Amino acid sequence: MTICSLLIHVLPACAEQARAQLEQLPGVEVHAATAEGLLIVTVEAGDDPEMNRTFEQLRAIPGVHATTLVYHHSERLEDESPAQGESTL
Amino acid sequence: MSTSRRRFIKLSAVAAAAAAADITIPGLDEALAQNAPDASIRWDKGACRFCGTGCGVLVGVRDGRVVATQGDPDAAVNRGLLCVKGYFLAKIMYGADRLTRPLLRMKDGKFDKNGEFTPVSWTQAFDIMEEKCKAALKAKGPSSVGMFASGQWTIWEGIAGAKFMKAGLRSNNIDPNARHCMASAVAGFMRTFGADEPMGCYDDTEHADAFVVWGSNMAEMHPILWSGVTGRRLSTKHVKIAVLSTFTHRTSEAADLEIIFKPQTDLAILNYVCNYIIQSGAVNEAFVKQHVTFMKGVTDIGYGLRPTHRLEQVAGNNGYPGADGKPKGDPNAATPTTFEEFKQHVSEYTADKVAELSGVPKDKLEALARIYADPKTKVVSFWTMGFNQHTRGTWANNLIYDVHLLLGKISEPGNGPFSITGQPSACGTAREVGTFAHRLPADLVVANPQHRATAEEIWKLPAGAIPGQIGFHAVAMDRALKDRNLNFYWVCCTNNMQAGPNLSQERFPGWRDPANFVVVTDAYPTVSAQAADLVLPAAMWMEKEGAYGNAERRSQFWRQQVKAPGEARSDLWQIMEFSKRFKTEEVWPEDLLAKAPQYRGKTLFDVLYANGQVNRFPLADVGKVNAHAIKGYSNDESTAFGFYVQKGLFEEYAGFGRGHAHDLGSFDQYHRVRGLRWPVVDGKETLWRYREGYDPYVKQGEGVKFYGRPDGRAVIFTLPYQPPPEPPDNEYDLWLATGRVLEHWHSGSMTRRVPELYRAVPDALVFMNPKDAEARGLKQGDVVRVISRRGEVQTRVETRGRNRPPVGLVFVPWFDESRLINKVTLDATCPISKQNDFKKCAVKVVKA
Repeated sequence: MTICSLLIHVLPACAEQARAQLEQLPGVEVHAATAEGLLIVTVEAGDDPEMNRTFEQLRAIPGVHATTLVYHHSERLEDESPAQGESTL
Repeated sequence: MSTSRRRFIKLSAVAAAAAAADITIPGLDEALAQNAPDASIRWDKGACRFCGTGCGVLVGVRDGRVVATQGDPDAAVNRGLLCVKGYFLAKIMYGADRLTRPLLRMKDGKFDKNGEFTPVSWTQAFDIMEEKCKAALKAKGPSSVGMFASGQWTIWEGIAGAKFMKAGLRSNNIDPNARHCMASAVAGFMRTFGADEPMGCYDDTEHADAFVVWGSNMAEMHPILWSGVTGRRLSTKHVKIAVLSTFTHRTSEAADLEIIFKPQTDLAILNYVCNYIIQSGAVNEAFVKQHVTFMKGVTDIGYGLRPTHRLEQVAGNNGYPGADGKPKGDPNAATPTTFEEFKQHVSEYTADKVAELSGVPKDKLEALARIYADPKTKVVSFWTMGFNQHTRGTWANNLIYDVHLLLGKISEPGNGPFSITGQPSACGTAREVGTFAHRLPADLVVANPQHRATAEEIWKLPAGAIPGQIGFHAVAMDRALKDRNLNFYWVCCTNNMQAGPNLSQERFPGWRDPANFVVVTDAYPTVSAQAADLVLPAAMWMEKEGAYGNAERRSQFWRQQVKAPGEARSDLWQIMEFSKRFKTEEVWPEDLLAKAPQYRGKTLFDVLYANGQVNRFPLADVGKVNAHAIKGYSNDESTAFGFYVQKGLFEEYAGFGRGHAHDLGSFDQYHRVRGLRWPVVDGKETLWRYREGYDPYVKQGEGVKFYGRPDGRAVIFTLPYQPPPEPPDNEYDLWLATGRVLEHWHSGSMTRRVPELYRAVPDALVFMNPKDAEARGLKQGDVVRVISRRGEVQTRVETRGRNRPPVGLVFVPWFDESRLINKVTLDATCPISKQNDFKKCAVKVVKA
């Protein structure tokens, strides 16, 4: 399991729509948003390819202006089977 | 259990993001308080492994493995943020194909140039290296051995490597991959200011009214720096961004003024801007009178091609041997001139003339010049490879300084020319330690006898130990290997087989020639490793104690966090351990030994590292110095050699700069703080050099002093536009520019190990204008051949991507080891800096 937190800048004009699209992506949660269009987002993914697909998808959403990473944690939880394609093994 | 664990990690991630963004999330603190902190993870500070920005990273270790990273909220560079490359930091050490044992090409139990890679012990590996190195030294002397180094080496790896080559083996044939990325910046700084590296710092971003970006895709290559620029632009209405490039890229998206110019005409545009400044009366006359002197550089300097090339045969100032065997002039030569003569020179660069030459509309040229000329607008100019990888790269650097110096917009908050770096320690290691063929630490050079004497004294070596002959630079090394003049070659911490120019014609043949022996030290089986004779497994990043120096003169340290896998060892250990294989009598002439009889019978390890200075800090100090962070801390090199290796090397090296405007702080201080920008005097860093009040080397009443030069003045250079060596013609009818993409860092040695990246940007594409594609009967996704006079690659057409070239130019990234675009590129360099131009050669694109 991998969890990342990101700060995503969206253009204020498209903020609502962008947020809605973000929340539809698997594993993505929006935790806070400011009036200036800054969103605090976490992404949870089972493996690296899945995480990367999500990165690509969220950066492609209209109105997403900048994406920065803040926190990244990878570990295998007790109830997880070995991930497919995990690069760290 | 896993649900609560998942929840806790997510809360921690949200808390870190909220802190970085300075946002309060109701209930978050309470939720976190209900969970005990995760005591199983040990956090410590570090520096990012990728670009030259130098972001601070907190590294989380559990059970001897890096499991988590986060942007360091206490790091001034990035304040808790990272770009997406940061996601791979925790992964780069754990690729499935890490090298864990030395591998030698063998057949029937013996070394064979055409044998299969076979695991050997370190003793066997050093045995064959010793044999080959000594054989080369015996046959042809020190000029036949060489080392290719790296802007990714830690500072102490640079010190150990430079000492081993320059003083130990007495060869200046050591050059870093930074030659491909920074050499023109260095030469520009040295010519204009007499001192390397930027005067300003990242704080400039918070003060500037305008940013002009020349030949740099900062949005993808330096995203954290770029977020500072765009943040300033968004939060402050009057701030403007201008982006100059030969094609449209992600950085252009934020530009108020985008200028696409024909390759090489940046030289003409810079001259035009100078002309506009003078014609519009915007020259800061008091500044120019007090702080500037005028020089005219020689022209007709060639293109750094082989001497047999027709362009070099006709060049009068390329410095190559002429018919009489003497050098034909000096490409770096310049003579004094006057403001009036400079004014006369730039007056030829009218808006009409430059618009025609560059393809840039006049109104855009004028808009650019007005940004600079407006006395109320504080301007920061940023540049990277567009200026530096240029057959007139030194000139381009000199000319941007001309612009800032004419206006006095320099060395103060928000005003300044700012050369950015691409590697994490291009500045800290390659430039400051001086791991170039012509350099020594702290801006000293091997060609200057006094500088050599200074180095010999600091290193406790007999006079004459360091040779005065400049060694082979990166491109010259390729040629020397091919010509069998360089026969023992050790490549460390870089993937030059992939990264260097004109691979098939000029580099690969020399590596695979049985006359030569090539050693590659790397963590992964890169293209370079696969082309070598011996591969040595390297420890990387958090597997060793390290220090990097970033683009704003900030030196940053980290502690070793985890063990390297298998038998992998740091480059530092490898160099120092190998130095034990040489007795002074084997590598130094008798007259040198006679001056230092105490070194007779000693090994190079004894002379260079166990010299009473490098080994003066006992092993116990390793724990003491770092006790505030990790109890019982040690590092593998110090344990192996029995003293605090890193501290000894650093403190000896710091003797070069202290008291000479290159002051570094104390070793122990760096292990406590988030980096310091040199000169560090009395424990305090310097944000803006050359200006009173900021720089301790400028005395009260002096105002501004460019003290790198004896007269205290910076130089405005008179330099013309000149055409590039290989423009497109009827057959090879397109410009090729190469470069990077965000997801892959440089050659992809580390990032390509991570499968997700293959999927994001699976292969390097040829980015092409739709009209060019149509004219050749090509469409999006077609398989094509990109062909130059030197070689070709097969790839796919991309007409809709993030990089959008104008008609007449194609762009191919170089990260893809299955599509080696450097088979196609030209080995033409700036004749002054010897840096290769990877942005301009002629190709054709045809359907495969």
